[in-house]
Amino acid sequence: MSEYDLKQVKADLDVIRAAAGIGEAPVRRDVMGNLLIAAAGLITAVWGLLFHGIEQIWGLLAVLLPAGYLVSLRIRHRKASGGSPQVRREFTAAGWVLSLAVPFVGYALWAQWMGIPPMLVLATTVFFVGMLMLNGVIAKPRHIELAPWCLALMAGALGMPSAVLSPVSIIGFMITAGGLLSACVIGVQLRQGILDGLRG
Amino acid sequence: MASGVDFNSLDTIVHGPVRLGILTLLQVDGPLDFTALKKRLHVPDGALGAHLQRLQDEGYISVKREFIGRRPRSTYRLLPAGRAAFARHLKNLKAVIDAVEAAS
Repeated sequence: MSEYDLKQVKADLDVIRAAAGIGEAPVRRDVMGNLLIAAAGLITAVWGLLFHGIEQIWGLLAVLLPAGYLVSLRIRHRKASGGSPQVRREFTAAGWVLSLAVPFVGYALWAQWMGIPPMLVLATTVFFVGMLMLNGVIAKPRHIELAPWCLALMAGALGMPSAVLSPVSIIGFMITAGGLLSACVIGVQLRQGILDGLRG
Repeated sequence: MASGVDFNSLDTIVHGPVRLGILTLLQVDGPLDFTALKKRLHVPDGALGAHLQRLQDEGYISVKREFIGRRPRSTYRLLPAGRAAFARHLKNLKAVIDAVEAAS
């Protein structure tokens, strides 16, 4: 088999991958996006350390800004490219994940009725969300860069009921750890050329 | 050919970037109109029209023309022959990959 034949095969696979939207792997700008969110998480954490009471909540705005920016980037990309079935499927799956809110609300109401402290409810909820996400990552190792986010959620959840830090600070540190580690994973993948190789 | 895979046996109608892209999109997304195909494949109108016509001539896809208000719309759909050709092409590509893997 000549090199030309193999190039033809690769070209065909690239066409199929692009058309089917299979190549929606993270790219360099995702490293920057994760770092941005990590920085915002750090701001939130510090804000939570400096301020008390209801003012702590404002610190969460720092995380919403880069998150909103990333979502707008995705939407712009989708409009420019006419949408990718893979991304659409992932958004649909994310929509289904929102339906998990129903059992969680039920769980929160049950916990309230049983007199379980709200912080414990929040911690267990965050822990289980992290665990569910990790389950998804294990089932689909192509998105291994999401694993640090799952672990950060689970670890952060364990720290929530402790009175050492405020929940807002813990959320901030959780986001910082998830963003930094995720950026590192993507960085290593890009350096090894795994993703570039996948994209041809 | 040492690998036993005859690359020349690939269906030349399917084996072209634009036509393969069209078949993939119709297979994955179902029926699509001309504008959606153009947007997704980044191909000029003329070239896309020619490739769609070629696939229609082969009986791989069908077209339904209608008017939405005063604007015409052409919706393309994959036919069983096109689905079979696409599946055959994937099988051939897989055979090539398997042959390379076996040789390495």
